[in-house]
Amino acid sequence: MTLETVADRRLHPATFLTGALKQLPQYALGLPAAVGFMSESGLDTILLLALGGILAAAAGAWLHWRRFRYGLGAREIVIESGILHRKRRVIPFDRIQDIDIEQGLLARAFGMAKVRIETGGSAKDEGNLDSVALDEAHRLRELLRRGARGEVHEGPWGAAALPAEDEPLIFHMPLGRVLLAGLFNFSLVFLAVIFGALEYAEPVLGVDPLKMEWIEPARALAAQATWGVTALGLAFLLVLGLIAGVLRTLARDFRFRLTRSTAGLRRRRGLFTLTEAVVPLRRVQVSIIRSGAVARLFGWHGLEFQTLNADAGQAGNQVAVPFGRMDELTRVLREVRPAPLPEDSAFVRVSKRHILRQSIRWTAFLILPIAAAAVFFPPAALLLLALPLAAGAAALQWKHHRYCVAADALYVRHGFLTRRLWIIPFERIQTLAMDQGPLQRRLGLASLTADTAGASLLRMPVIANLPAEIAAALAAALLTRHKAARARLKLAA
Amino acid sequence: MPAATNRISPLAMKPLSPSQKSVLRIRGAIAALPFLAASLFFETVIRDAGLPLGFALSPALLLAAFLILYAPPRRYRSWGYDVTEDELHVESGIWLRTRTVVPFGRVQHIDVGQGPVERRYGLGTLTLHTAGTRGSAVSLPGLELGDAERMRDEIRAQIRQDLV
Repeated sequence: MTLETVADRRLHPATFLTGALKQLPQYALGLPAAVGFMSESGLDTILLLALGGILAAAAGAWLHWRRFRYGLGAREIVIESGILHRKRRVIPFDRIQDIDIEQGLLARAFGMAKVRIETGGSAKDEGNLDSVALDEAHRLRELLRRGARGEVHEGPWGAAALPAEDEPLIFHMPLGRVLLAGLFNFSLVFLAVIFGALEYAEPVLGVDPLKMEWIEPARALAAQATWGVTALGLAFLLVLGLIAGVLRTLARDFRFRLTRSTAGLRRRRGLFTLTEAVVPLRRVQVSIIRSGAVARLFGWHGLEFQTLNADAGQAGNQVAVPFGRMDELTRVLREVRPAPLPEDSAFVRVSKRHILRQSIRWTAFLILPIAAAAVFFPPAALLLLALPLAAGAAALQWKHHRYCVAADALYVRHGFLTRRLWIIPFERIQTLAMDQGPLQRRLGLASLTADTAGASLLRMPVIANLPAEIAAALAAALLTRHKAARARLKLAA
Repeated sequence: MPAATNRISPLAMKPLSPSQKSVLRIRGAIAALPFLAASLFFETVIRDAGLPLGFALSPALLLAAFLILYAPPRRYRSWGYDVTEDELHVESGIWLRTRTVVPFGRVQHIDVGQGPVERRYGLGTLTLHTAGTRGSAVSLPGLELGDAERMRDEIRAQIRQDLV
């Protein structure tokens, strides 16, 4: 006998306001502006349209709020939505992978939060409750999480305890650290975004900041650009890039706190939009230590966890430590794996023929485009002189590419600029693949890939260009260890 | 260095069913068909343009010969598999050789598929699905259907043991 779950809860009433505010620019500005631009209508018509737009936005938001309900059953959560076309979505607890709480600026003003329920499926907005009261969000998450663990919920709705605020702190970033991390997050890409945004700022500011007076003298200077002016310009760009990096990092990682909760590692961060996410420890597949070229020189690194469905939530892996010292990273790592990182001396390099193969490949890839370019623009042939650089890059790649088979996991290290160290526990390996291209066959080399759940196809921890017989032996050894680790897990369960 | 150590599989791998060669040939013929048809059409056009006879047909015939006669036996030979106690080994590829190992304990579900050409020869394709990214679906084509089904059942039994 199963009773149908009743969807009897509504979102926070203030979602009516925030929803309307979000729709407002579109209705009250966009449409009247378009009409005003395209026709000869007078100002009164446009104002009337804007008023109509405000009413329409308000009506839409109110209807959405009226028609959105959710409810919790013993084994599932039900979400009903849709103004005309009603949709009833049932998410069984055991399908829930993750529950995130997010608080935007507006939501914070009203004490609300958005609850995002992630299931294994690919649909983006599978279970979004946007938004409910903050304590309701915490209570919901607690109930859903218990449900996902198989505990059947009984008793009154509000009985679930709020999460304890005194969870042990594992890692946090004080303001100084966030600012420092920002300096290393030097970003010119973000600069482009700012400039793009400034272009849209004109109607708001009344002036176009890109056409302000200082631009003209700058253009005049650029016309007679000397080395000094160029250097000054570059320095200016550098400073802007630094500021952009700091701002972006500040917005994302402000008050970064990682605590240990019963469900896993709980991460809170954000300046304008506060986000809270929990990484369940048993879902961590691979740990990745990531360090940029410059930050590494100063002893700073980052730690990410690759979880089962990293692609469902935010793209990429779950960041556990954005910017920290190695001992801080190992402290967080210890929450996931007790074994210490192997010594540097335990790491092994791949075959030196790696350099030869990569040089040949890159040269082959580059030579045709250069030759083609030289046909149309002969000086391009000078680029051929740069081809030996391929050998240099290959040598650097080889020097920084190492692996280690430790007692608990396979460690693979890649990268000269951004260095990544993958920690792949033997029991988490899904399949092993040995690849051998024609050139590798000639050179007696083979590459080995340990595939894991949630791995990025673009960044696989490939052990490239091992001597073929070592690759085969390593594959066999990894299989043996994989089996042993799985057997141990089964015994423990 | 001895040639044997340059290969990635020290194990002797089992070949696919010999009928798979015929399946590959028929597939090659199907792939060649549109090119042959198009070239025949161009031949009639070319006759008007005054180009020599067979200007379009001969490359198409060469392609067809490659797809039907040359490639199938080589592609057939490139495949190999082995089922050990705990894992499936699959080797394939002419240009880029790949050997994939799937531990049975990681298999999430198993399919046995049969295309129209395979059905005619009583062959099937065994596909193991894992939670991995690159190895999310490891396929082994060209098995006698009965063999494929038996392997599926054996692996399934292994998975059950793993869960117990």
